[in-house]
Amino acid sequence: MKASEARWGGGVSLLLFVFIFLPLLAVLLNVILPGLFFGQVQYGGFGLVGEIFHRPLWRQSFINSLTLAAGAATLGTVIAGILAAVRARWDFAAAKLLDLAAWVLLIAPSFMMAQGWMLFASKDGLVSEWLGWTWVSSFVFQPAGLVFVMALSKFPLAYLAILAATEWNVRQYGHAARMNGAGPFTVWRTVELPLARPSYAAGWTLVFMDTIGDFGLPAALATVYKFPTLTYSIYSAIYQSPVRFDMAGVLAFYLVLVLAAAMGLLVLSLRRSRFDFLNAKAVRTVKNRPRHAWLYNAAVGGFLLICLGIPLGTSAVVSLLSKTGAGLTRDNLTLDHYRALLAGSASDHRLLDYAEGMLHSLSVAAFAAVFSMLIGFVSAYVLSFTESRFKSAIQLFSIVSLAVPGVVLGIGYIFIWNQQWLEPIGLHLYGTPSLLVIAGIAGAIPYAVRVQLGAFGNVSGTMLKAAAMQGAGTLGRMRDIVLPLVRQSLLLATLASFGTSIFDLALASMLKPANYSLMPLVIDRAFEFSQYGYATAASVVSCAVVVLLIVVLQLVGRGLFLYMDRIRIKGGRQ
Amino acid sequence: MTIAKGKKSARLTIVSAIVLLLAACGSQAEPPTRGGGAQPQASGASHAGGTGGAQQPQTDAGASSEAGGTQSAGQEAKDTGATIYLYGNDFVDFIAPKFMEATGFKMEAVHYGGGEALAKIEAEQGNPQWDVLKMDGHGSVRNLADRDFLLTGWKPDNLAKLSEQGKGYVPADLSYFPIGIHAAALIAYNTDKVPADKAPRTWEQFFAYDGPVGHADPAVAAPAYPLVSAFFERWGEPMAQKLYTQRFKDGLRVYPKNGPVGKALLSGEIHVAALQEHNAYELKLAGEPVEVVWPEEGAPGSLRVVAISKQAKNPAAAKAFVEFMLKPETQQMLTALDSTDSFFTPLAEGVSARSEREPNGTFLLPTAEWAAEHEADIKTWFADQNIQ
Amino acid sequence: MSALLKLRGIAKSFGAQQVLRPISLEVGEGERICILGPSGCGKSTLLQIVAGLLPPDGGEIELAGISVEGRGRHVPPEKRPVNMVFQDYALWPHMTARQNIEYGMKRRRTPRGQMEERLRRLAALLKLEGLLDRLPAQLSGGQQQRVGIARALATEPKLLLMDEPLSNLDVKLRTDMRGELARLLGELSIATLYVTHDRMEAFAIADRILVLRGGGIDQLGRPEELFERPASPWVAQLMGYHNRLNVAFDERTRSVAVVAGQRVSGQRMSPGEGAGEAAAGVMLLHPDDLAVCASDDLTADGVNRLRVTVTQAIYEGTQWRLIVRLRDGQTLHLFHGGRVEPGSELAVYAPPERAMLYDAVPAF
Repeated sequence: MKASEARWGGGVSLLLFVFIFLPLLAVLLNVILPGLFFGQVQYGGFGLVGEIFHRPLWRQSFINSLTLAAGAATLGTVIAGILAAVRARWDFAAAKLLDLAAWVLLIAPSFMMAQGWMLFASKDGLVSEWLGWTWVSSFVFQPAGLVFVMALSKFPLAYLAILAATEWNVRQYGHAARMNGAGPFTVWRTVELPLARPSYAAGWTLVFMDTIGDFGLPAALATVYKFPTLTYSIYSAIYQSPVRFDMAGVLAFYLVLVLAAAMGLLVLSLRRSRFDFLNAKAVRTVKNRPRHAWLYNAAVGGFLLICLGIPLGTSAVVSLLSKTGAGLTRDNLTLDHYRALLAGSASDHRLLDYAEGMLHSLSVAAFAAVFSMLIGFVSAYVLSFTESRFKSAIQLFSIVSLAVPGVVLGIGYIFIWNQQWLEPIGLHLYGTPSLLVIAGIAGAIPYAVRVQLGAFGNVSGTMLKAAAMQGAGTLGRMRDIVLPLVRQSLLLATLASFGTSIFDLALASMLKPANYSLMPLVIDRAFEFSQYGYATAASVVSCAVVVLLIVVLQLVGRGLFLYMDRIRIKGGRQ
Repeated sequence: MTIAKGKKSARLTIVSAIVLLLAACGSQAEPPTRGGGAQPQASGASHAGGTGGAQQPQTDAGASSEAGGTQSAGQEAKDTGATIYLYGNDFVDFIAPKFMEATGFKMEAVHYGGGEALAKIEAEQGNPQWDVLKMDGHGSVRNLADRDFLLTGWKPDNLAKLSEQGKGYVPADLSYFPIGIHAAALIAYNTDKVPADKAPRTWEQFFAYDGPVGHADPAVAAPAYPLVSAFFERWGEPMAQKLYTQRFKDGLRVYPKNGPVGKALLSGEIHVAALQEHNAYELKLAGEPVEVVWPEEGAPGSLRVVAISKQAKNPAAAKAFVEFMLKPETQQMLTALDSTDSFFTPLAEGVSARSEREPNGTFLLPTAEWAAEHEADIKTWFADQNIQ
Repeated sequence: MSALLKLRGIAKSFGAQQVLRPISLEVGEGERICILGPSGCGKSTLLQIVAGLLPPDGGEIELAGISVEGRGRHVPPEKRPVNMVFQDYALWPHMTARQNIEYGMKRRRTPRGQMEERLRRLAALLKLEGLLDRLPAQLSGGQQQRVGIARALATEPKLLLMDEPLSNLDVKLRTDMRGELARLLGELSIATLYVTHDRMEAFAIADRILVLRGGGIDQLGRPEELFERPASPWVAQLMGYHNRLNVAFDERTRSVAVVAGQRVSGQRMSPGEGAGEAAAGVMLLHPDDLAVCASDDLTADGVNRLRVTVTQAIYEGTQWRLIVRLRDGQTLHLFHGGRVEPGSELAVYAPPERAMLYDAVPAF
């Protein structure tokens, strides 16, 4: 049992190492040995590391990224705290809407949200053309405005973290405080807030990490407002002339450094919360109807209108307009953009083929989802039910990918997989779709592992030992015992990683093969060339297709499970 | 131990399935790999700042002749039957089918903007995926030639068909071939915002204009480096830097490409633009409130060239493409195109240009060597200025 | 002694279930009332309503002469002169014992000197010296409970609410604390509403005991009253009358029951309009009150003597518990000094003043 488990553990660790850790190592190595991956070994020393502060562009990128991330994290956490406090305590109609909106924001790709905001707020955007509110444009297109926009998109991370802690509270603490003379606000301030501090810290860090690694907003912003960020500078160091792979590597190194620091902060704050108070008395707070329910509904509704309604609504509206500036009149409405999507544009190089791009994206994401689920399954199995010595390695690798943004991963992949010596063994994957699949797997692994670990927690180890006594090998145990018990969450995990990887703009930008269209690129390119109708129509259709697919697949999966159960009971196969 | 065997074979199947899948996907989109482990590594040093001059040409003559393609003029090149890849910005979708039709060689065209194409070429230097290049900006291509990316020393037959002007642009080492020149930037102004008497007519006036102006980003758009380098060469580096610094202070907006520049001009975000000629004429001919001025002292010229990769997979096809592009018939076809892409001065003899253009416009064109030498410096300086 | 707390018609339902039927109650100054009953009978709900943590469906509450609930008014808990001790202590885990106790005083902006003085007094009273700077996680169960009590007393409430404060402690500690608490509350002389399911606690602490059943008051009275004259079978069971026999009543004499063919006279507790109604009922007997008759008493006049067969004899250290069976199959528990062989026949004496008779009630 041990030996075969060791093989599984070792195999999966190797895969994770190659997919996730090796690219990161490549980026870090490139800093001191630039050109290593182009066949040139020269010790560059650490001079390169300092160069970031000599060039104004890199320096500004670094500062911009830090301020944007810190600002968005702070504002996002404040918003999230207020919303979570209200949501956990009161019962009002808009509450369910708030939860739904949080999940939509989490899943929605950031470049789509950013495009929506750009279309809304730019000089010739919706709000200045239709309402004449030019102040919106001047507000959004400056650092504070960008922080605001980012916070509105990223706050759900903090919201869910804080809500989770606030909902499961020990009611008595609040009651005791009130008996001692504290009004509701004082109770929140002196009792609930301090106890929830770890979750606030966690929320802040999550938003910070997500923002600083974000590529979608800078990409959408690039055509409209000059705001260099680390992620975009990494991209442009490689995709604009003069090309500087070494600097891209250094910028990536700095990004990873900042992220590691943030992660350290997160771990530290979680560990320092000594109040393990979630005892048996912790119950979901009973939510009462507040006295002025309509006020809460109005406030939350208004907020959702801004943070979701503006970007999504703008995109939807623009996709139906023939000329953005001409206003919402009947003869300005058109389905031409949608028709153009499906017609396929052969000659106009500004508009990449959407149908082909969608097909490619779907297949890449599908492969990535399935493989990441498989790898995640085996990893989670090894972590939960074996004593393999690879456990800590697997843990490390699966977490690292969370902190490494797509752009950095992309560079690492370019370094590693464009090697001459890989060609004879058929592993020269640079410039092929397989690299996209691998990158997609790398991005999805942390979620795949986490979700399955959670599901495995409900499977008792003794069941597996019993199976082993009956002679089942590792594969058999995985297939016959664990799989049927966790298949529902497996399905969900697969669908979730499918949904997120299909919209990954950063990886698509970095690793796209020549003449290989991908959906996020179609949208990004159209936006870059100001073909806003086409871009937004593509966004709308893509979201619809993906949501539909996920819903359908989930239903099909559930039906399949029921069918399999029935077969097993009837046929007595076991 | 049937169980152990069964489990073992299952595991093997999974692993091999993954590998096969990867390999299969790998071979799908990838162009057929070349053989030859003895292939010379192109000078692999990634571009570290400073001059873009010749870095470390590491290849030796013997190996390069093995890499396909001969260097002595007149010898027949080998047709390997492979599809060649064209990286280019304008006309690529139009020209590739025409070429295939005319010659029977297989070509796949990939559209890349100028900065992108250079970056791709740089990234692939360990293992180039491209065979022929067609782009604006002789300086950048000179740079590639200096770093030994290009095939040199081959004289196409159709070189004789170039006009006098065209022949003057052909480099000594025959690393690239000019096919057309157009204005990287003309002065275009929004007639609603700028009365005709206030409109700048020279580049000095453009820099001194009181109001927001804009042009494209030399890091991204191919024609934008010729634009900026023309100024730097004309006025000398210190003066040009001074003018640009002042201009940034007074309001200079930089857009990734010329398309957005045109848009911004229309929306009134900028009053005057240094806009590439075909974008400018496109707007004017479409009836937009835009007027175009070809400055007296000349418009910064953008030389469009074709070049062949040193490691082209099908040298015969690549050379045939160059010949094709140099033919007057081909260039006539291009100038007759309906779209404003046809706005350029053809360099083949006897080919007429679009009538709507300025017929006697002069160009400001630094030498290829000068442009190549200062490329990295100017682009870097510009990018740094742009963030303030 | 004026009433400190007045409850009039307090009712509460959760959905379809009525947890409190309209209840009215008065607690005098310094009086300690124990609410006794098993879980789910609404006692914690009543406490929470008095505290203001739960709004009642109807009724009025008056505290120290001021109306705090009812007729459109609802004074929030933080403004009522009450404080509460919780079953699981509810000490705030991020504050030290000292900070927990001082919290209420801080909210009332008690001057620093006064705060220190009160803290010192309470610490002495509850033997918390040296523990004040520890976090709750560093205190034992008993210590946490004492901190909880100190915290509730620190605000000098007019009414103290205690929600099963000892039920989370182990048996030995509970017994010790019971006495301590009784002494403490006696010293402090604060009006107290004390909820418990343990009758010994109630006996130790209460001036009066309130028995709740199904949301209504079964009996409210001094401990002796409840013990000697339990108003309902429910109260009787709570008081320890664990022997329950189904009996028929004599038509002529209200206070004589017939069980297994034998006549037993007892205390008829149901009101009853007169003789001749309710022909059947129950009789409740305390195991401690039953005695095995001497063998030669068997043929005596038979009043209040029951013939039984021993089915089981269980050793309990200080005594033997005998489980016996009457002729009609009903069982009784009683205690005896020595072992009796199962199967032997005995006569058991039930003192008439200790035999409680009630009309038949639906089984509860």
